[in-house]
Amino acid sequence: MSESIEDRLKKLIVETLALEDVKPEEIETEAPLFGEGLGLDSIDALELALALHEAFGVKTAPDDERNREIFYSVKSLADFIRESQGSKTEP
Amino acid sequence: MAGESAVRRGRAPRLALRLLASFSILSYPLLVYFGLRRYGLRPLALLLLLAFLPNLLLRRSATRGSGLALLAWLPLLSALLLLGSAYFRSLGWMLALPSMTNLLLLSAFGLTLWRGPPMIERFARLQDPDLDGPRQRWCLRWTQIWCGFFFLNGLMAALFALFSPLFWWTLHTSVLGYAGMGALLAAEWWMRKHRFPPEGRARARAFLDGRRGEISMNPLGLLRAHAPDSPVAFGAGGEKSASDLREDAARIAQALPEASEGSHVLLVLKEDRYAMAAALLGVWQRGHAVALPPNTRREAILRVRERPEVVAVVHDTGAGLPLRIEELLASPPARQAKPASFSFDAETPLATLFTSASTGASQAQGKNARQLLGEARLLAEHFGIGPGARIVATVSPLHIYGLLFGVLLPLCCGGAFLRETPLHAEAISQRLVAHRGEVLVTVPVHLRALEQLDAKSLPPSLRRVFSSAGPLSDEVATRFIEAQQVDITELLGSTETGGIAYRSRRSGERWQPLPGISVQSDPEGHLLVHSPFLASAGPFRSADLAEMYEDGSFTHLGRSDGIVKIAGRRVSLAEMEEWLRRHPGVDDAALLALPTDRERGHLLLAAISPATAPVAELKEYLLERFDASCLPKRLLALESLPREANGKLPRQALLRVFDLQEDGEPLLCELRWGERMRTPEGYRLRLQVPRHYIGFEGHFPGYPLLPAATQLEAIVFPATERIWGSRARAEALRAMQQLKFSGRILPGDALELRLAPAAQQVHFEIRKGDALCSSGILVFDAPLDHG
Repeated sequence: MSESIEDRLKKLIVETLALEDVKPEEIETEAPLFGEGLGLDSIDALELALALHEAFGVKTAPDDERNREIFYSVKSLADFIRESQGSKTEP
Repeated sequence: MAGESAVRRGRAPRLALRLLASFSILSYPLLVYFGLRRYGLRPLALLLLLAFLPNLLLRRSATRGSGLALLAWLPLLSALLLLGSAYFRSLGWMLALPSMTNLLLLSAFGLTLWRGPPMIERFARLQDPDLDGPRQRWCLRWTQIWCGFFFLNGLMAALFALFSPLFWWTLHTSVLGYAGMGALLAAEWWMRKHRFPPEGRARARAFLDGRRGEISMNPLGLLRAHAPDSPVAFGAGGEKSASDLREDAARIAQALPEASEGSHVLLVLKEDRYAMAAALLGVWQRGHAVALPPNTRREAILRVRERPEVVAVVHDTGAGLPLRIEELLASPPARQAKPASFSFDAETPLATLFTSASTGASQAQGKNARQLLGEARLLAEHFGIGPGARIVATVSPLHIYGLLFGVLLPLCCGGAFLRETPLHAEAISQRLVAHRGEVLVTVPVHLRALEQLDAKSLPPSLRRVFSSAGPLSDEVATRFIEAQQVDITELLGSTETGGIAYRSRRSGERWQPLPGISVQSDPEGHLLVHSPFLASAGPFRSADLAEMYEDGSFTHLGRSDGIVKIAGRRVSLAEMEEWLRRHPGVDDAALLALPTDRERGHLLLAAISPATAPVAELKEYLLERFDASCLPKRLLALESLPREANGKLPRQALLRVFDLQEDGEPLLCELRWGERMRTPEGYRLRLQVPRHYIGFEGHFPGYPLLPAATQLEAIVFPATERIWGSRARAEALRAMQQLKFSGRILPGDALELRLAPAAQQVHFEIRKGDALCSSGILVFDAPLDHG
């Protein structure tokens, strides 16, 4: 019953940002989250960053340019999480 | 500024204390000389200690002067010396006080030489905030002279105390030392009279009083506290000096059309704060005012651009319009070597800001030089931000808060700002560390991110944090202040009034009016603002509701109009409703704003008719005009809205549409967790379901109970994950067995969650008192260790 990171992310996005009229499965994995697409904005990005930290224990980069790449889509976020978790040693 | 209100409350007794205090300090040597013969050493020490009591009592309020904080230790030091003298029966301790006083003064003045600005410059700026280079050097020299004097005076006092009869010590410390100080003061005063002409003082005072009239100043006078090579901007794009800024402003000025009566240049500059500063100065130098859009959405920009007074647009967007900022800054330097210097007075219009208004139309707010620059200066002075200050802002300079604090304040006080606008917590702290940031200008949502993601990583250089544009929760404020050891100064203001009041989060709830501003409340509880920075003479009746206290401070009780703040932006409900109704697929629209406990502020829900309205398309349509953060989180299409016969739509009816009830409490997004206990079986966790919890929303119309899925997602899994880590989270679940949801969980319930692990299973129970609400067995993929 283990879900993919992508599916967890979609749920997290809908819950964190209280997107009442969007269902997790409607979010396209590779579609841009900000600007067009879901139309999220910078404040949403901040709230999402907090939720990601809580759920996956990952932190965003000290460079907003890189953060923009990370937060581009569900896929880029999932890649980033896998990368950060891979580099950590699980207890 | 708790001290200030204390002064106001008890003026007369405090004055008496102050006189006594001054008397005991000035006459100390004589008291020692004559008292010693009469009373002997020990009784005299104790008597003097008594005479110094007023000083000890006054200690707190004496610290208010900038740079002289060290002197606040003087009373304590005197008390220690006197106690020492009595205890060791030693005259030396008693005689050491004048030397120590000089040493303290030397340290106070010397520290300002090292840290800047020099002490005398701080005094001089109280008279005239406009200090140019030569006068700054003069102040530096005099601070050094004073340091020399304190050193010599202290040394002499020490030598007399150690090696000569008491008479000579007394003569030196009671007469000669003060005579020397008087002579030096007279010399400084005489020279200052010539260096600081009275018109400069009058001008400064007029600015502070907000008096109209004879205030003439050069637009580039903004940069007068900077030396030509002082930095004005730093960051990813490289450091820029004051002279770079003058040159770039001249480049921009020469590319602009000629000014006419009331002409404006629209600025749409989102990326680089330095470009924004250069554009502001360039536009003003050319004789125009700037127009700033309410947000950077296409439709919003177009609406401002279409106004007849807007003659040009300077922008950094991808649009193919003329006057792209990169091209202007890369153009050859302006022909005149020095930019034309001409004066404009306090009433010259400098900017028009567009904001959302409760009527639905966007509202233009004009600002003149007195309002923009006078306020920026006053803020810099009041908060002690001076030359060399390094300011990092996380807010856009297109809004009044970001414009004043992020751009104009540093330009007015000789400081420098970060060029880019960092967004994420790590990016903000990285910039603060890399650029030794001293002042952070931000909003609550960034403080929450910093507090949660990046505790303890802000540099020690950070000495002031400003937060505005929305309520900052106590929880975030307390944790942030504790972790970073820096206070948060919250500001209350509006586009119409500029800054109104501030409060320090360390010292409590009440707002203190900013200097020059006074507030009252009218019979309906509205805040009436008297401010020199208002457009008209009378008080401004703000939509803020307030409760006043006798000392002029107040508590803020919210707003009374249809404007809500979402993520720090003002959103007019009427404007958004009107915009929705204009869509061809929409007949009627109504918005509901719910206060939440999140930093975002309010949450918007929209009801529209008819039921066939194109909900998905409407989101795109709203984005043409509104920021994404302000969009309704829910668009509910109904056959018709529950309007009354007169067309009114009561809030209660609208709440019913969304299955909500209101009790005045904010909508809460988090459960309140209480204590966690270990038991032989496993764990017990207490929790409270807020009465207005978001999990109740909309699942069972008119009947708020916590759905089974929410119980698992919001209560059980967060707890198992917190205890056993990633092996016990929802995603690691293999199966659920024997699930029972037998009792209802209602708003306000106090619950207990019991967890009993066994190998890879957890048995859970949610109880309300003795009643079992739900229970079941969770089977995870891997065995759990016992936490």
